[in-house]
Amino acid sequence: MEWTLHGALKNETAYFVSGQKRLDKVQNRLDLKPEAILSDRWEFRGRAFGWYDAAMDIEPTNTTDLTPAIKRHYRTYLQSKEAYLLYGGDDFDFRIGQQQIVWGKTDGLRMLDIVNPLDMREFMLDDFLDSRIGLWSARLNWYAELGGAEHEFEFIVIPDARPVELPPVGSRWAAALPAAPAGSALAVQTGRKPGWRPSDTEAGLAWRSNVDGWDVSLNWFYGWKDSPNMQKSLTPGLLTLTPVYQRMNTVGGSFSNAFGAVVLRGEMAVNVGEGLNRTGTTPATSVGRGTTVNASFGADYTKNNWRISPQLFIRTLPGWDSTIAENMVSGFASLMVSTDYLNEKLKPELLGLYDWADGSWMLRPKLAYEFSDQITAKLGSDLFGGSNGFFGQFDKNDRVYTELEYTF
Amino acid sequence: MMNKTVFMLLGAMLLLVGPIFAAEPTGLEIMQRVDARDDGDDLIQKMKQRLVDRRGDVREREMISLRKDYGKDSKSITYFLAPSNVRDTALLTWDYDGVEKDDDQWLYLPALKKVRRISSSDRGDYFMGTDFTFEDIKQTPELEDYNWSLIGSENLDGHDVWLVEGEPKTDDLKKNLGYSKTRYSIRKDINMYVRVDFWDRKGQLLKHLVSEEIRQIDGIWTAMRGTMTNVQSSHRTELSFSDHRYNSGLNDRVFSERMLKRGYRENE
Repeated sequence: MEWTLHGALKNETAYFVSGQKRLDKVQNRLDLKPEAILSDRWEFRGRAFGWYDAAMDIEPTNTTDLTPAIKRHYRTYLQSKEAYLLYGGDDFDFRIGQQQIVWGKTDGLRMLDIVNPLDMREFMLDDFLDSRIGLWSARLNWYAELGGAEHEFEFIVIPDARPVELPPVGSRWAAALPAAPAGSALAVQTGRKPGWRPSDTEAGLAWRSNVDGWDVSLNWFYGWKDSPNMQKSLTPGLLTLTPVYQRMNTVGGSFSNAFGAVVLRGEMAVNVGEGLNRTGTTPATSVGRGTTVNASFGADYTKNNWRISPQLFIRTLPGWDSTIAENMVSGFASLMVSTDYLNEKLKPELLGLYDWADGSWMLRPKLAYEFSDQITAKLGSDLFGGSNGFFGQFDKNDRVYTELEYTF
Repeated sequence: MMNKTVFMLLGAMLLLVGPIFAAEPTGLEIMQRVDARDDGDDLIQKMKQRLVDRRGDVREREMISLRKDYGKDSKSITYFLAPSNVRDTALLTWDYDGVEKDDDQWLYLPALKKVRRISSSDRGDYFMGTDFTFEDIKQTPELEDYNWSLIGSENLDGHDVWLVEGEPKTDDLKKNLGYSKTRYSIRKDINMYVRVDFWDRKGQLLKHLVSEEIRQIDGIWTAMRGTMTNVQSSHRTELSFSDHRYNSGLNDRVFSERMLKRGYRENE
């Protein structure tokens, strides 16, 4: 048996430059990736990381966004992200343990990438690799040559169903809650989250192949909508919100192919029975279910060492009616531009996302510099615009940040 | 009788002087010999890269690459083993002979846990911060892209070499490849280039590649070291190769998205 250990030490410091100006975080992270070759066929692969956030001790406690409970939530973190055994067969790979399973072809937003829920403690700003919650699961990938082409069939069973981890209510990265009517207080209850129960088990299937130069996949996932819908109950003077987690089926697929300097890619996910928020104020009228069609199309254009990647995301609700608390058609547009200088030592990058339904946006310029094989520094900012909506709700959370990472 | 004797004498003279007057091969013929040189049906090799900038700062990388020929086409997969910040990054290339069809390329980025289809059309793009473009890392360039001409011979480090210049056939190709001219120094005894000089699109000398420690492994001539030096930026990339295994009968499935995602571990 042969063990190896890789990892990183990293400092992430961010400062809010809008709203109430203060430190967002001074995270000191340790990221460990142990691996072992157990035999010719068996391997172990793991990843765990944790941090101490000094900003929670530097910034004074208050009664709004830095309460003792919020500080506790953000001060320390320790989680296993992956810990699985891999058996490499001739025609199949079998993985069992805690895993991150990534589907889809889009960047920045998730459509088919629905297997693992996210830890949203920093909205969607953290790298997905860090914010994905590893799930205990079994995965079989079987490879077969059929009709002269290689086909991959993936089977997934997840007894460890878990929802998204939401930031604590009141924190700077908590999503806006429905407003209570004038004169009413707002109370948020704990809902029934999916968990380690046989009845909550999730399962998925995928097929992948290269057909006439096109990388294609078909996917099906029977799971839970990761983010809850908010069931409302209005009594005189009090609006009670109860998170409701609902089952749904997702069927979809993805494609990509290269045409000269352009790579076209896209994916579609049809969610059948997706939980939807409604406009009513009773348990029966505030939450419903319906079919949603989600599609994305993107292109990667590479020329003279510049990479330009526009993407378009569309979401439609075929059975929409006016009681559904979202638009019949909504979506996002994104653009990523990047290049590098000094033999890839210096890497500027700009990512922009625009929510056309409410006009809100997010802009993420970033500059990375590789001092050596082990040491990389980053300087960047996350800027939000719009008065409300997906990005606009964080308009007062513009921040600048630095990162310093030592990898080993 | 007289005629027969004259013919025999003439024949003997032709045999003697024939080699002197044998036509030199053309530039294209020499490059075809380079392309047809036995480089094994498949190959596994380890590679160390040292990226040295003008201040002498060094970045080092370790890789393992696997290649298999399919007639004139080939497939290859390269895994980055070290340093840790690029570990498990892997590039899969299906390299098609000729210019009619662009190569297919996929890149696995462990930070995304995703395989990305990437464009192979910008062959002048530099590969992972090295001084090699995607075109340079191929064994031989696409012969159809250039007009080849033999410009002479010389002795280089004790070996007779042909000097063959290649000029991209069109301005578009010059732009795409990033070169206005290349010059190959090819050892006559083994049909292997030992030095390549590259001129940029403006006609200025850009960089040169020098292959060293050429020896036979399993009967196949192999360069154990190579250095590409960019004379304009004073940046250089030093490569050293080891652990060659030729003709080991690599399985076709090695060159797949499956193996790209799985990464390379020493038990394979």
